[in-house]
Amino acid sequence: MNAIARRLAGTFENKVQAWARRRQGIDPPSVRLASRRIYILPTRAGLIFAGVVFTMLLGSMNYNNNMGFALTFLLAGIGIISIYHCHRNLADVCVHFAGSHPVFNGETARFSFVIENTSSHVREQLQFGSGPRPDRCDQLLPGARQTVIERVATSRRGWLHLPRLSVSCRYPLGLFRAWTWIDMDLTEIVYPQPAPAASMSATGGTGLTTTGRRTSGDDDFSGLRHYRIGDPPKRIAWKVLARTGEMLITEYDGASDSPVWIDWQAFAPADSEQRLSLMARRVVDADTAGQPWGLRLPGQTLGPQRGAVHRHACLAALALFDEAGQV
Amino acid sequence: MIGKRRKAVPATTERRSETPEASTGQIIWLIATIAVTGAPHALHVHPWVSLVVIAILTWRLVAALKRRPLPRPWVRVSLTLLGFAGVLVSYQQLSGLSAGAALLLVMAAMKLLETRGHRDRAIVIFICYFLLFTTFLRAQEIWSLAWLVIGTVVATAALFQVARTGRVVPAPVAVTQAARLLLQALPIALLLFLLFPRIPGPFWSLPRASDQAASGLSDELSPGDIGELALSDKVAFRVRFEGPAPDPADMYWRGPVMSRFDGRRWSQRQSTPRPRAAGAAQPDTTEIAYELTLEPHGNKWLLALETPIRWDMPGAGLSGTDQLLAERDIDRRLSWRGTSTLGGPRPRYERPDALGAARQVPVVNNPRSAELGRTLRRAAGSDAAFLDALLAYFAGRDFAYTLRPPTLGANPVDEFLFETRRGFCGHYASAFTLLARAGGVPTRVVTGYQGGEKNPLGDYWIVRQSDAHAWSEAWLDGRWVRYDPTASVAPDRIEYGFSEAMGRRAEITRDLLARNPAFMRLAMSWDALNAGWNRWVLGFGPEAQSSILRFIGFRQPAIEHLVITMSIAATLLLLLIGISQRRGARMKPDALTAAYLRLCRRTGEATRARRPSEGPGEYLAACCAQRPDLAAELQRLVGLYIGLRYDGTGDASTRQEFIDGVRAFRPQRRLHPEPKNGR
Repeated sequence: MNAIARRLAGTFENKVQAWARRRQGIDPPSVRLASRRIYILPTRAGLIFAGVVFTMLLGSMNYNNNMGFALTFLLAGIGIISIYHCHRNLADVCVHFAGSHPVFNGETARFSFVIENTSSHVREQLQFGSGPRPDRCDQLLPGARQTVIERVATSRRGWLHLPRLSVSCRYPLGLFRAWTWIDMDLTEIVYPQPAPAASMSATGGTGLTTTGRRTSGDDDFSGLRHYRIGDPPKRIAWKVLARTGEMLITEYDGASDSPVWIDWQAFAPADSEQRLSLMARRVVDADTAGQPWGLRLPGQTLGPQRGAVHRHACLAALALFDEAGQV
Repeated sequence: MIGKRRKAVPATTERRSETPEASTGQIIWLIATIAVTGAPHALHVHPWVSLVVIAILTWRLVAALKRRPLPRPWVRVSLTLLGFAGVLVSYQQLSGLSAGAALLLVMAAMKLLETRGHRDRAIVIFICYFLLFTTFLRAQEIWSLAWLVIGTVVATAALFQVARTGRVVPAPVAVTQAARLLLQALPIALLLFLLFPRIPGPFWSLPRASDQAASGLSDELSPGDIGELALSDKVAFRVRFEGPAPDPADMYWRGPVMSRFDGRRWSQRQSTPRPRAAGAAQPDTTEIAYELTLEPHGNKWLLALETPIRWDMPGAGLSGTDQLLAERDIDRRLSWRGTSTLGGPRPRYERPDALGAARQVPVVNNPRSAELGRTLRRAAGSDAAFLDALLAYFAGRDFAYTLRPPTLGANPVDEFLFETRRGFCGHYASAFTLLARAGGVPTRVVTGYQGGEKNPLGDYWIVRQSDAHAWSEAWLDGRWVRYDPTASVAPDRIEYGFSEAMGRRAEITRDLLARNPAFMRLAMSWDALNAGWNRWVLGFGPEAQSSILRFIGFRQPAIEHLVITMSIAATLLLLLIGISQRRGARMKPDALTAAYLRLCRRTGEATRARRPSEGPGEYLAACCAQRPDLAAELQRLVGLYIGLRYDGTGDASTRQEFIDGVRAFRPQRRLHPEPKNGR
């Protein structure tokens, strides 16, 4: 019984979603919530309120009590007026997409938005998103902005598509809920989850093929050189920077410039997901070490290089690697 | 690159628990609302209910302040059941007014122990709205309007607070918000009040409030038993005459007629016979039209002015004793229009058994009175002369009118006539009727009200319970003729009305203040206000709605017309509200910014739109590169703008120069169409 009801509700919700999408289309990254896309329905409390007013109406008729009628109609009027306030509180709010970052699988992806009030009245009690702990914006003064974050849990690598999100409010009396759906068609990449460091030995192959001498570590300080884009922040000589204002990089003997190769073929062909996970770990480690590295996947080779851009390119390639499509 | 696009899983599928536990501020608001809306009921319900509710409110307040946990569900449920059982046992029923109020109070207090979600908190407020509603079943006086406003504002402010997530706003802000909502709701409420079709009840039985107004009249009259006539200033009804008012001495408002006498007590002859229509009036007398607003008294008496000939009450009619009766008991304030004539009814047929009953003289007591009646009849030549002689008898002896007569013994009329000779209208009417019957003339006692007090401020007359009166009616020449023996004894009582006559005699214990003219004026204003309230607000009903419709232009008003009118008016009103809400929604940029934005728009049409990140200087450079022909003017204008906006140079004149310059700046569109692959 319950299952049927839930399925019916699910079907209905899908229909409504499809209808709204047809109606609204895909939004640009910066939208003003026009009146026509704001929907409003009574909350459960609102339905109970309607019942209360109706009961009072019956009571007033029964007792032929004009003061009862007065209270009944006043409450009805307050209910109706609160529809306007609820709608007006949301209409013409601006929502701007403010960026997101790639995450590793298992982490929570965060999409930042800026809510802006360009109107001359105060916005109250806006609620952003529909998760269990939605970001709230208790008060937004005229001209003010506030950053809100939509959090999405990740469970698979690859492209993460941000589901349609909602901005809503129940202001002023909680009898009605006005909301709007925003679908900016936002995506973010989810890297494979890096394997834990301890599991490296158990996999058999190390996946490392060096073309130069084996790196011995970061122990021996060898000198300073000027910063180049892509150098890891931890190797910036912060003390020197603070003293002289020059951005210098400490160089170590261990951190040789000879690149490390992270090769798909070098990993034991157990489970491709686990392989990708191990490779992601290697990429992260190599980047942390400040070492140049190259990535070989069936059908594509990246690097050798180092730096954040290269790191992203490698991790993205791992995230989007599709064995079936490549082999 | 082949990407896998798929829906992400929402962080959690659980959607409830959007609203956390109530904050302390919200709990305080809930408690305050229950206290305010429950206060008028506190004295009407059983004391234990008030005590239990106060105890729960106090405990809940402490729990909220000290962040103590709330009772477990089973404790809550058993407490609630216990409360319901208590109300049931105390009141034996759950439908009465006090029982209902007690139940609501208990429910509100118990619900306060469960405030997890927004809905729980809202329900507490909804119960409070009901508590407010119940207040009006007890009293609908003019002050109840103030109570309506106060109660609604407090409860709505509380609803505003409990709907908030995060902290509550300061009390004045919440109250202002609620008052604003109420003001904005007022037009809608007014429209509904005026035009919402009133389907007359009752749908279920009416619980009678225990303090229902009692009438100064009753079914029986037993003057010998009354030691002191309690005076009540309570209003019995108010009358507005259409046209000149009759002399107060002629205002006899007819109530129950009593023709059965057991020697001590007068009573109505039989339970009300089927009402009949009016007999025709004497053709030569003037008709007096009036509108009578009756306070509820729980009987069918309409208290028409003698003698009624027309009335607009459906179902009303004259009883066998010419008393105008409504179809059912009058439990609410009621207005009706009637026309009467002062000339008395035409001769008509009276049933022999009625006349026989009006002749009966009890043989068990009052022998001296009976003897006196017979003697006087023998002395008089005709029935009419006999009745006049009776009136003269009262006027000639040392009879006195008093409200504190001595109580009378086994032969009340004898004792009154021959010993005490002190009494009020009931004594005189009773004695007169008995004497007339002893003389063989069919006579009966009529009770009702006599006279009235004109309110100079409201152009209407007030008839109070203290104006209750009793007189006699004798069957003479085929019709009932009124004889008022009290008038022979105390002419002032009839001529000036009760209160004034008593004021002169200074016999009754009226407040000294009442004789102060300023106070009287104040009292009269207050009564005029109440009369207006009763007439226009409480008396508003289907009849008034019909006249509104007639005013609009419907000739034969019906409910459908009401629905149509209401729908159209409501639609217009809602549109109007919508428009007024939309206005001023956008933040208006100041004149300088507006001019700059206009400049950018016009330049944008000629070159390219300004990117949101571009400042004036940057955009200017880009535009000048693209359109050298505009460069000079653009540079001048943007220079002015930068000076005004950022450098703080420039004054009102440069400001105007900039605004005018922008207004005049109308660049032509692109001179050459841009190549497709350009830029």
